[in-house]
Amino acid sequence: MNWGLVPAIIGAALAVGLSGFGSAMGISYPAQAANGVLAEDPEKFGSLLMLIVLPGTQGFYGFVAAFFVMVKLGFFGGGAQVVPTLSQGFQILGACLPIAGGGWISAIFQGRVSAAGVGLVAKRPKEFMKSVIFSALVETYAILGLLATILILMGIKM
Amino acid sequence: MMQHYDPSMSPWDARYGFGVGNIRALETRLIDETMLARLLEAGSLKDLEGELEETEYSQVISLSNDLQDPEAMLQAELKRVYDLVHSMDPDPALTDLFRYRYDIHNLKTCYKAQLIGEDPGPALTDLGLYPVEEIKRMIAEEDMGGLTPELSAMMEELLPKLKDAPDSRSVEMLFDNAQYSFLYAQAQRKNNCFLEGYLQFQIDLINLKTWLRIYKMKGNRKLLEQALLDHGLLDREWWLDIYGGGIGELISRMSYTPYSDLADAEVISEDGNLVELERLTDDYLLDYVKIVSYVSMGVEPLIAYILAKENEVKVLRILLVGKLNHLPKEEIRMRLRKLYA
Repeated sequence: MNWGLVPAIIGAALAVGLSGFGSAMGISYPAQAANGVLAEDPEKFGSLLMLIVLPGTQGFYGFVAAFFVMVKLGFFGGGAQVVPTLSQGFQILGACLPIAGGGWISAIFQGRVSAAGVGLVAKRPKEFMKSVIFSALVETYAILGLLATILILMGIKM
Repeated sequence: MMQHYDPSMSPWDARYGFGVGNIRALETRLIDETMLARLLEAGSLKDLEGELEETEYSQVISLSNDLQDPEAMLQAELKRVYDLVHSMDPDPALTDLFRYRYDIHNLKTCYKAQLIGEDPGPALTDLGLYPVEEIKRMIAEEDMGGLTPELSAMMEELLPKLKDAPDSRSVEMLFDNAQYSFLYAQAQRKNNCFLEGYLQFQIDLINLKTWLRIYKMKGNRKLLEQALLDHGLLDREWWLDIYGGGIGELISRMSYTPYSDLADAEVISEDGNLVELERLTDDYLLDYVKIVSYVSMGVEPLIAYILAKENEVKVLRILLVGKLNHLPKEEIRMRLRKLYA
């Protein structure tokens, strides 16, 4: 048996799992705060939804990274068409770490910024875009993590 | 103003997500300067009632008997706020402290009434967490078992001291000191720097007013020692040390404390107005409370909302009583406090 597939699959799983975990936590913060606002002011649903959704993107980025790994290993041709060596497997695992770690941590912090943004929107609805911009700034580092993951994956010779 | 509480260091407590969101929405309904100006300009009680109908007080205004009895409306509003905050607080130990103050007030009133053999009657309030009848029974039977362990311990410690108290004024002072020690201990126990800081400022400002009152009535040092509260930023030795130096010494020493702005105010003088000082100290405390707007998750916004509503009720009380007594607008305006909104 070639053990190279094991670290490669672990890498893909970490990319999806950790980013998804971070996103779930990140969404829960502004969502709880938004429920509190909506209990008094249901008309703010639209602008609050935007703030709640933002920390959810990291989960998608993790999935995109895992998708690239699966493409690299030829999973969509009915099982792994390309069987990596142990070294290649660890290279894929390493490639997945930027989005796994970056997505996980940035989603949680983005959730905090979004929760603070919910408070801002509750008091000053006209400042909504400013709170979205602040939250989006945190997103930058998840995007960089995804880009790094994709570039490293593309550079791995199979 | 020097502040020793840093809102950015407040712990992120995700349990307060709903509560903080709810409070941020409710804060938009607090009475602001514009509404206050409209209330002040209202020509008649009928007009005033109409303006209040546009605020959160519309829910309780019917209790005021066409604003002839504003206190019933204000108490009902406070009770509504305490109940609301309690319902959204996952750990109400700190927000309930504001209601324990009323329980301690009721305990004190019942104890003093028992001493002179009178019925405490209208001086009691139902804003506390314990029913008034239960408080009366506790005092009559000296059985504090029904209180929380912390409150019960405070009373068990206080009762022997009360028995040695020579007069009603000493009872009052013992209760006040026990109350602030209790509140401060609970804030410390919950490791809440914001509330600790608030209580320290509040205690110092009460001590400042006590110091000035006793100084102006030429009271002796022993009386001051009895009346001072513990747990302020400035300890009781600080206040006692400057007593001999008079107001000049007080102003000079205060300029090295967080209260330097107050030291510069003309109210701290031989003929200064203590009512005006009361207003300035309330504004000082509200400025401190306002820094909580930087806390995005935690119990602090809930505490700040309670304090903001208490301040708002105080402002409305001044305004309504002034209007009922036909005071000129300017005179009412001079007595009004800053608002949180």
